[in-house]
Amino acid sequence: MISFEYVGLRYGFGPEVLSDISFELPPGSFHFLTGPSGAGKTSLMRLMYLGHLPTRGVVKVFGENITSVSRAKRMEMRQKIGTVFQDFRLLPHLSAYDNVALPMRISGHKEDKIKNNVEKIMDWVGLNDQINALPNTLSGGQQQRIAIARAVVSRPKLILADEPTGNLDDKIGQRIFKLFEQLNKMGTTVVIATHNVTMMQDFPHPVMILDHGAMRIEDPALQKDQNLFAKLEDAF
Amino acid sequence: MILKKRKENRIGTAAKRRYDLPFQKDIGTRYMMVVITLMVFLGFLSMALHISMSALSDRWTSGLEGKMTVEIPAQGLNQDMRDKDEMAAITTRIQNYLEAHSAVTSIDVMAEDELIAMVAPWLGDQPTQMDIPLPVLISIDLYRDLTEAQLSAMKNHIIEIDAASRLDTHQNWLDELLRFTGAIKMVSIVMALVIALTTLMAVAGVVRARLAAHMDDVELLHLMGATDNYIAHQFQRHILILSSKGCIIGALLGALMIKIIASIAGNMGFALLPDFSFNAGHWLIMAFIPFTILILCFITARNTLRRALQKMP
Repeated sequence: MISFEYVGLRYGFGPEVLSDISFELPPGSFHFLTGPSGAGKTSLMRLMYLGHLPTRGVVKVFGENITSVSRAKRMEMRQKIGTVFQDFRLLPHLSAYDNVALPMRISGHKEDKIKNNVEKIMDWVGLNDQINALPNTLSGGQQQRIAIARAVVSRPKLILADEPTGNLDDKIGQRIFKLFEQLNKMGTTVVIATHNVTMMQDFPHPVMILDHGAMRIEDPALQKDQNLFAKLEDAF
Repeated sequence: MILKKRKENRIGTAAKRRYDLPFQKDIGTRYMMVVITLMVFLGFLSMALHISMSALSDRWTSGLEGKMTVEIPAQGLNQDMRDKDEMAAITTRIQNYLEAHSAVTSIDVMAEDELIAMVAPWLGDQPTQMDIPLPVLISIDLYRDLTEAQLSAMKNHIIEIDAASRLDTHQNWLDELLRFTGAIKMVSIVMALVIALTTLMAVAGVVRARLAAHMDDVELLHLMGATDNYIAHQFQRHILILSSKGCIIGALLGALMIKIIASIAGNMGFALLPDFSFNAGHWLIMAFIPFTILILCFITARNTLRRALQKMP
């Protein structure tokens, strides 16, 4: 689904924020991405949702090299990716409904299908009563749930979420992670960047640890490192 | 019941959605509407000027085409005043010559009261009481325009009858006037080009400014997989609506202004002025101005957007 081969990334003439990153995420996998602040998590996510091109190396998403695909193909690939941005990036002049409906409208779905999907997902994130609200009238947590609903509404093949539960209480956070797990069970590949060690413990999936521009993957299920979460807790 | 109402609300939400980008709050785009209104208004005036000048020069040309005038001055070449009998004798001889000429359809010797009325704005109602000598004017209608040789022969013959008399083809006077109307028509064409260029620059400027203002939102749409066409379509639709409003308002104001000018020019009743009274054909030509500006806006917006969007990742 996603593969990185010796990927380096720098912004302008600045230092490399990612160096020689190599990994492969198979289709239908569920991974956490973690690391200290400034480790390059958001940059890595940007490469995965095709928001940036690598300075060097090869990034493949859906088997396509993102540097060499045509512009039209890149747009097509983006329609299959659901992204939850750290800063939500909701459109302030659109209602919650229209924000959530946006990816489906872009993909050209019919209004009745959009309505059906949007209402279902708004129910799921517990905001059905805020369907007509503008984002700036909602709390941070509610905005985050709208952003999550928008990312999953069109049933994307790949979900990339950057700190999706940062503003949510544990109960709602658990509910959202369960939603991601459900989608994952239906075949969606999920990558969640988070600092929330408790959630990583509660939902034991492989963890991509990014530190000083380099990356390693730990799988709690294999229990190689019994103290993985304790170490992560200390590190953050 | 409550559920039904809520559902209706939801449908309303979807139906009310017009743009993914917040164009409604843009002040810059309203400025563009004002610019387009002004451009259409000026376009109307410029076209009105062109049409009326063309009509005026046609009127002058057709009015004087195939016409000449013979002037028999009241003074001879030796500056002596001629008496009435002498004037009548010369007039009759010239009249006889012209009536016998094969190219002449008809002639008309202008009556004294007509002559007095013609010079009244300068000399008052009774120039004869002031002993101001009046010439005799003979208006000639021709079957066709004369060749240079025929004209020269006619002039020579008239001079043979009376050396002081002159044959005026009006050509010099007409040439000056046509040069003048031609210059004004050229100015109206230059105005039209300036209007087109200004519209083009205003639309391109507004589109670039709006794109820069909504860069984050446009990037978000791109990240969700929105194609350049999808984004451009939203801008284009918005600009088309604004341009249409500008064109309609500009056209109405332009038409109103032309009607006012036509009314003022009509009341003056001065034949040398353009009258600005347009027929259906002229109004049809006028109707092309807003359409042309609308198409210009649309094409400019589309090209500016496509170029700018393609530079984005």
